[in-house]
Amino acid sequence: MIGQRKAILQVNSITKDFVRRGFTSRAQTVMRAVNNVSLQLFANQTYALVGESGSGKSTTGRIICALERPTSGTVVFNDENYTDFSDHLLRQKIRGNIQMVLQDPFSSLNPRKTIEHAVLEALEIQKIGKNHSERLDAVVDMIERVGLSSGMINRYPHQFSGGQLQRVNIARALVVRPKILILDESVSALDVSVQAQVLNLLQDLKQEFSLSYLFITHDLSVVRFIADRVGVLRKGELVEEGTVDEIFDHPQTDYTQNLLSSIPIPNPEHRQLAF
Amino acid sequence: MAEVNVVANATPSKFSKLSSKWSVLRTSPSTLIGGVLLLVIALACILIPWLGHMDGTTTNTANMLLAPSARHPMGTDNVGRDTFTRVLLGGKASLTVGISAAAIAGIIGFIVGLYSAYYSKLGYLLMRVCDGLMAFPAILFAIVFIGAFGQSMRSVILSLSIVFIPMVARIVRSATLSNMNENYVQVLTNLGAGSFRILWRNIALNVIGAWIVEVTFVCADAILVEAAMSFIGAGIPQPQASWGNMLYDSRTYIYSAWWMTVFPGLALAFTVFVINMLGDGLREVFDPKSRR
Repeated sequence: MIGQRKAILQVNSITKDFVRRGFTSRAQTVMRAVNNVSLQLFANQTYALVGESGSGKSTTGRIICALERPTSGTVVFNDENYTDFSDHLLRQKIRGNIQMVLQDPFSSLNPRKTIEHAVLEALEIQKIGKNHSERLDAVVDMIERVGLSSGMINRYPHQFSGGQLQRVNIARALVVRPKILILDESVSALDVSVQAQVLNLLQDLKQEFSLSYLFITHDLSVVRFIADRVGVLRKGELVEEGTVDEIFDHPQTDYTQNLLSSIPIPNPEHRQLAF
Repeated sequence: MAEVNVVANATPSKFSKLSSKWSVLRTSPSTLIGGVLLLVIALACILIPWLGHMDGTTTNTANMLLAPSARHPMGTDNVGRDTFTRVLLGGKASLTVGISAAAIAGIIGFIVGLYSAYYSKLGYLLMRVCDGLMAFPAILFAIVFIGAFGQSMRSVILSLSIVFIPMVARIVRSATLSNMNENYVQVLTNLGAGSFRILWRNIALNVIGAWIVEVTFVCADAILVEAAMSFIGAGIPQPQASWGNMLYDSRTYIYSAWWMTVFPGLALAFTVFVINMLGDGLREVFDPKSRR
């Protein structure tokens, strides 16, 4: 069924090598962070990319955001291959459509700028809105949509909690009306209760703005709640891919099984002894 | 409705931002004391000679080497000039040199530091140039510069500016580099921001604290180096007063006319002390750890 629809984003067998040169340029070590990874993201869908740390999840996200160029392979957004786009073309066609929210809500915001300024800046960079007051309206509107009050708009980041700041980061990403939002461990740094609030918010916003999410995480307990499809990365390779139910109920590889067994089970009576 | 809310909130929050900066200033007494004293010194050096129509260059052999008295509070020198007047005029020269050199080195160093952090290849090149400049002792470079371009206040300021650019550039570069690793720069890049916006409208805000502190220290340093240059005769040309050349003049009379040595020396030491105190205070104010 899903296969019939057109993918909004296609990642075609991308590989990323990081080359570390030694003191003499002859000695170099190649680290393959991402190895031949392909995935497709459909409109209104959430794709969860899971794996242990160092498995290449974030690098994949950065390549999709065009912050990093793949060594080989292509990335295609809306039938447009932007792998080799110049900075100028990226700015014109891709930047506004693919946004990301990072793990650390604090360092994602400039400590010396009010949140109004931070969100406004996104609009200015993308040249959205005719004048300042129109932009300001959009900022206030977006701040309220992510569940903050417009009275907080003149505060500095250090006056907020982590959960509130992550809402600000989401607001800044969404105010430019992207099609795809890449959430790179976006809720991992938050308390569990705040995590749930932000995840609920993300679910609501997804419907409201008809977004597609690429949800990068190591925390599988969150994945079942939010994702439609899941890809499991290990050492840069996509070892398994499928719908949430396929992955969670019938994991095909040992690695996925191990990852799944690491999810804490809230009810002790349902726990199986590991040995 | 929402808009009204925002406007209503804008004023008190702007005000509280100002008052919080003010309260930080109060909790850092060295900033306040240093700032006020520096202002007093500057005003005294500029206003007193101007209001009193004081003349610091005309010699008068009848008044040679007079001890401090009501007429000459700091005595007179070996050619009969009032030491008090010359200390004030020397202070004016010293502060002019120090502040101008700090301003020029500060502005150029800021730009160099910012861009050398952003463009790594350019930065590598610029930092090697800075290394080269830093390898020279400041005073040696300044003397060579004076030798080539003539002895004047302008050459002194220019040479000291060049000497102190690397110090400022280093500080700004390292602060910029650590900011470049912050996630907000990545987010800005992902939004499509160019280098100008990232550097000048974001990173600069976070670097400016460290920069102000460094510029203050450069100012104090420049005053000291200027005095040393004037002392060996490569600084402010005679007969214009400078603390350095006053100390040079006093050297042969140190046993017979102590006031010629003590007053310019004290003025120099006190001014540098005050500027350093201001710098230390500013460091406290801008330290992000003490802010929270």
